[in-house]
Amino acid sequence: MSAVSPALRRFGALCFALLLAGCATVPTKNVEELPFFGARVSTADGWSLAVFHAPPDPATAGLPHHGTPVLLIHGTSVNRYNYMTDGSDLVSFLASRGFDVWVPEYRGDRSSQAPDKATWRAGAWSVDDIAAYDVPAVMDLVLKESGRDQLYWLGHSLGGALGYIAAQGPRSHQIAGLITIGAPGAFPHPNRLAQKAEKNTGLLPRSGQVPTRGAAKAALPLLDMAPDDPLLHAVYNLDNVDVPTLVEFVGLGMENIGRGMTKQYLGWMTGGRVTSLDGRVDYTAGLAKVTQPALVVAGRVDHIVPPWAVRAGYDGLASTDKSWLVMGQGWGHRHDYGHGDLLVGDFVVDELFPDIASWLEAQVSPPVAPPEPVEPALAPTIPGSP
Amino acid sequence: MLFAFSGAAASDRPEPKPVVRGTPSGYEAEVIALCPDIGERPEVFLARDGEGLAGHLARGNWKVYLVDPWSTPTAAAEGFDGVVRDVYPWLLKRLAEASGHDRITWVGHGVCGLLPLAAAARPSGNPPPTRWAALGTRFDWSLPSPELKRWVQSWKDGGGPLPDLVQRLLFTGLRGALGARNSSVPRGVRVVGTPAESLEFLHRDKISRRPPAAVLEDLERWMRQGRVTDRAGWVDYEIGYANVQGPALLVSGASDAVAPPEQVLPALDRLDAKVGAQWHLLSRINGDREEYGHLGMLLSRHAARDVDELLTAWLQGRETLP
Repeated sequence: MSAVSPALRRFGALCFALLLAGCATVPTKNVEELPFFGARVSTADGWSLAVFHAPPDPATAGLPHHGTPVLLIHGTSVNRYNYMTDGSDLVSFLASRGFDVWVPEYRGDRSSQAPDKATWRAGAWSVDDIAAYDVPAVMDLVLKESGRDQLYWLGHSLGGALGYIAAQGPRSHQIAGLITIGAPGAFPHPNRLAQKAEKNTGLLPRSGQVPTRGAAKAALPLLDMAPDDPLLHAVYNLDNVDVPTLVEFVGLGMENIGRGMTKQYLGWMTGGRVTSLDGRVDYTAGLAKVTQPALVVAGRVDHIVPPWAVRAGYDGLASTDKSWLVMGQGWGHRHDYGHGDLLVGDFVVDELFPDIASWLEAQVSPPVAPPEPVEPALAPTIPGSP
Repeated sequence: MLFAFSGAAASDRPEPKPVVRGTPSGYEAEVIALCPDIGERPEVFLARDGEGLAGHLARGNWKVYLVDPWSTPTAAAEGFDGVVRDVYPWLLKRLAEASGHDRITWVGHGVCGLLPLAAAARPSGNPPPTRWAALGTRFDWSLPSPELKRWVQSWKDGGGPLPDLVQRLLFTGLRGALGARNSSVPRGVRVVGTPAESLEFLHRDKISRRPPAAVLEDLERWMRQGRVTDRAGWVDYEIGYANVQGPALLVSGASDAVAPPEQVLPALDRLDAKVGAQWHLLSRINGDREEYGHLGMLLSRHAARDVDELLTAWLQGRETLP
C-alpha cells in the first residue's frame, strides 16, 4: 500500500503540471546565428524550417564518396543535437569522412516558424504533415545545394520511420539508400510501457504541445538521485551514457511533441502498424515498395522502439541489399544499447559511427573485384621476328 | 530432504532424475521435466543457491525431473534429429510411466525448448499431450549475431569459447548491488569481479559442457539456411507450428543474445490459436529486476523472484502472469 495519500498525489500532480506549463517552449530567436546553420526552407503549407549543414572535410576531396549528401533526420521530442552532442557528434564524424551532412529540424521544433500563432498553439501537425511538406522542402534544398540527384537518408526513431515513408512515396527515386536506427516498421507485441501509455492517454493535453522538454528538464535533478529509475531506463541505458552528457543533451536537445503526433503514435501502438493519422495509409504495408539498400540498426534493450518493432521494418523491406545490426553485447559491443543511447552515448563513436560510415562508403564506391586474367587475343610479337 | 542426481552417463536411455524437496508430491501430482540447453549440464536448474528453478518447483507440489537428452550417443551421432526421433519420445514415455499418468509439462532451456515443436513436425504419429515452456529458445535462426556464430565455431574448433565470449553471450543483463537491491550473484557463489565474471566462473566450474558435435552442425546449418530442418532436408520442423499442442509459454530475456525476443516472437505469431501460447519478456520494463540474459534467467539471484514466480503462475494456470 502506498504511503502517499491520494490528495497529496493530486497536489503533487498539480504542482508538476504548473511546473511544466512554466517550461512551455517558445521559438528560438536568431536561428541564423547558430553554429552549423545552413539555410531556411519554406514548406508548401507555410512553415519555415531551419536546416543545419556540415560540408565535407576538404582533405577528403580525392575520395570517391566525397560530397555525397547525407540527410540526418532526428526523432521525436529531440532536435539536431540528437546528432551533434559533444562526444557523440555524428555530423562532424561523417563530415570528416567526406560526406556532405544536412540536419533539418522539422515543424514544432523551436527553430521552426509556424504560419501563424494559432497553428503553433494548436499543435495539430502529424507525422503525415512532416512527410508531405517538411521532407520534400528539405530534400529539394539538399539536392539543389549539393548538385546531386540522390541523397542518403539516416534517421533515428521517428526519423527512420519518416525515411521508410519517404522511400515508398513519390520522392523514392531521390533516395539512394537508408540507414534507420531504432526506427519502427510496425508495433507488434506492445511491451508494458506501451500498454501503460495507452491507458493513460487521458493525461495528455487535448490540444497544443505535450511538454516533454519541460518534463525532461524538471526530471534532471533525479538523474543523480535515482539513476536506477525504470522510467529513465526506458529511454537510456545508463551503462552507455554518463550523467553530465545526458544533462547537456536534455538542456539543448529536447523539444515538445505536437498533440497531433502523439495521437498518431497512439494509433500505431493500439493498431500495431505504422499508418497515417486517419488510418487510411498503411506505411507498414508500404515497406514492400522500398527497394533501396538499407542498414537497419536496433538497440538490444530499446524499450521505446523494441528490436522486434525494428525487425518488422527490416522484414518488410523489399530491398535485396539490406543489413541487420543489433547494438548489444551479442554483437561485440561493450553494453546493450537502449533507445536514446543509440546516438547520444559514450561509445557510439567507436561502436556505431564507423559502421555507418563504412556502409555509406561501400554504397557509394562498392569494392571492385580484381579483374579476371584475360587471355591475349593474339600471340605476342617476338622481337626480331618477321 | 532428498536429492538424487548422478553425473550424466553416456547412455542412450538416460533416466530422468527426480528432484525432491520436502514432502514428496502425491501420486496425482503433475510431472515437470526440466531440460537444459545443449552446452549445459542439468545442474543448471539447481545451481542457483543449490535450489534453483528445480528446487522451487519441487517445493510447489509438482514432481520435478531433470532430463538430459544431449549426453546420449544418439545426440552425438545424429544430432537434433536423433533426439527428436528417439530420445525425446522415450523420455516422455519414461516420465509417464514413472508418474502413472501423462500430464507432463516440458520446460526446455534454449534448444531443448524446440523439442515439442520439432516432435510435432515428424510424420510418425501424434505427439503426446503435453504443455510446454520454452525459456530462451531461439525459434527463428536467421540473422544470428557474430558472437553466437563464434561460440558455435569455437566448440567446433575444439577449445570451446573463452570466458570473455561466454560472458558477452550468456551472461548479459546482470547487475551489481545498488541501495536495497542485491547483486545478481546468488548467495553462496564466490564473487570474483563483476557479476558476469562470477557467474561465468560458476558456469565453467559446474555447468558448462561440450555440446554434441552433431548438434553444433545442426545449429550451423539452421543459421545458414535461416530455417530449422532435419539434415536430410525431408522434415521442416516448422510444420510443427500447426500440430503442436499446448498451452505453451515462451519466455524471452530482453538482453538474451542467444535467443533475443525478435527471434522468439515469430513462434508466437505462428502457433495456432488453439495452443493458447503466451509470451513473456523478462525485462526491467515489465517490472523485473534485470534485463535478463540467456543464463541469467536461471542463475541470477533475481531469477528466484522474476522467473520462478512467473513459471509458478503459469503452471498454476493463472490468467494474469506476474
